[in-house]
Amino acid sequence: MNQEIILEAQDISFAYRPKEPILEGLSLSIRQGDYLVIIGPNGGGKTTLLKIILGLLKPTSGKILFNPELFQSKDPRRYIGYVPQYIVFDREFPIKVIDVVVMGFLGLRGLFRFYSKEDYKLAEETLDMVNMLDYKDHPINELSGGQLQRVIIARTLVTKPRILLLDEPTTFIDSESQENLSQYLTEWNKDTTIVVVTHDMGIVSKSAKQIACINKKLFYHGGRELPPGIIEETYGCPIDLIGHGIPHRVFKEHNETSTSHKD
Amino acid sequence: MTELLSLKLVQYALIAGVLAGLLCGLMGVFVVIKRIVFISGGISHTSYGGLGIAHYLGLPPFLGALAFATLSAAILGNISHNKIHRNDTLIGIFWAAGMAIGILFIKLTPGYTPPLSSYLFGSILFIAISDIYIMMGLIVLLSVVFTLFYKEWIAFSFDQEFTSLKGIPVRGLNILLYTCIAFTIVVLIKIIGVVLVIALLTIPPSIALIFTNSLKKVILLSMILSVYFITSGLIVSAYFSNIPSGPAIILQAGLILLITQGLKKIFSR
Repeated sequence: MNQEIILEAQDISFAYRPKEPILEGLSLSIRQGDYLVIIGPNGGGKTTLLKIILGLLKPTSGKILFNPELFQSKDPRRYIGYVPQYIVFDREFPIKVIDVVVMGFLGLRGLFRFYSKEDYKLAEETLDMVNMLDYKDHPINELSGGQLQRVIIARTLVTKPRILLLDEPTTFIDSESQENLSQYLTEWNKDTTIVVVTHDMGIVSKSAKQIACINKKLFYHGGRELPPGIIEETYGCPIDLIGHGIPHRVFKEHNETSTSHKD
Repeated sequence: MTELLSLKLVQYALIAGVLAGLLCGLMGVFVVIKRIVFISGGISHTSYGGLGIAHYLGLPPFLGALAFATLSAAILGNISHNKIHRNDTLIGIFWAAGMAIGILFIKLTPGYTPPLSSYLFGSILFIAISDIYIMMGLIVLLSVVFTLFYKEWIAFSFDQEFTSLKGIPVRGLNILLYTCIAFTIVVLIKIIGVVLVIALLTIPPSIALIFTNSLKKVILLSMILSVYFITSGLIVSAYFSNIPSGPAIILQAGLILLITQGLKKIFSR
């Protein structure tokens, strides 16, 4: 467990509107080789934290520090693999599977140049890893949700990212694909640090090494054996909060928002 | 027919038609695949306000249209990027307000006013030498951008969030895209009018997408179709002077879209 820290979130707060904080003073460090599953209620700020790590959102206060020794580039975020929860692109877009995967090299290959033969070879190897090589010349509109997700994962894996972030990866895929995904993640974790955000503690969480509970704040971050009561606490139960010695002021605020976040 | 083609006016119109076809065949593909059809319609109708004001002030009307088109493109394009406001509501407001301003100022203009319909449905008489230069410039600009930044542009069209994560200046590409769409729309307005622009931007790519799943081929086919629709429509309009060019172009394009869709249904059974 004495692995080097890959990145560190320092005292992160975030709010779209001043009086409705989504994250409050959250600190968390991720180490090389971690397989961290972040759980917490919907609206508890899990996805927001991922987007702050990725630089898609700017924190209201606090910062993300990347270990400079592990990221040679000036822009470490190009070396993060990210698999978003929703497919944000048009599934009817006229593009082949292999051309989506090779897109992973974007920003790493310089302007004015097209992807090289080598890039395409690596893309094919990565497609093979996710069992999608047979589909390499198929247009994406012929794929199922689970297949498309594997293509998107291949697009991030092709660059061998230092760290792979997945946001609710099980939402739109069937139970068989979830089982497969869980196996893949365990396999990839040998080389890559993995962070999965999820609200269900099912298949993906089973193989986790570390767990973090987040609801506006960090309630727990540690091994996979959760202390009793921590889940109730994260998902908003005021009695437990007093028991754990959290100041009254915080408890009150938490109580107010937990009712508004319940649905 | 040969007499007709020898007229300077018709020659200009045909050259402009070919260039406009190349331009709208290309930009239309991005309008369709990036799903910004409604924004493009908004830009087109908003520019009618600029036409009206320029007319009233005695300035070249299409300069006014260009000003309104680029301004509305900048606002609508930027808002879709920020995702804060309700997009479609704002586009609808721009759409209607632009038309209202245009109608008001054209009616207020003293003396002779051209019939409203010529701006709404296009006229071969609007085409000037300067349009040919503008379009050539745009085509050169876009060819350079596409050849130099092809992979960035494809990624940007496909998945904007991913592209920005890779450090590509997505905001800049958006500005470029919307500016080019605004220029293309203003040039097209002359030929087919404010109301029908949107059909010419969407029908050729839609037909092309029936036939192929490769983006390069979609762009190529869409350009060929656009050139054909515009030039043939212009010839019809030049031959029968009471038929405006806009409907002559669009009805043909729509008919071919219907036929190809129908054939696809039959063959895919």
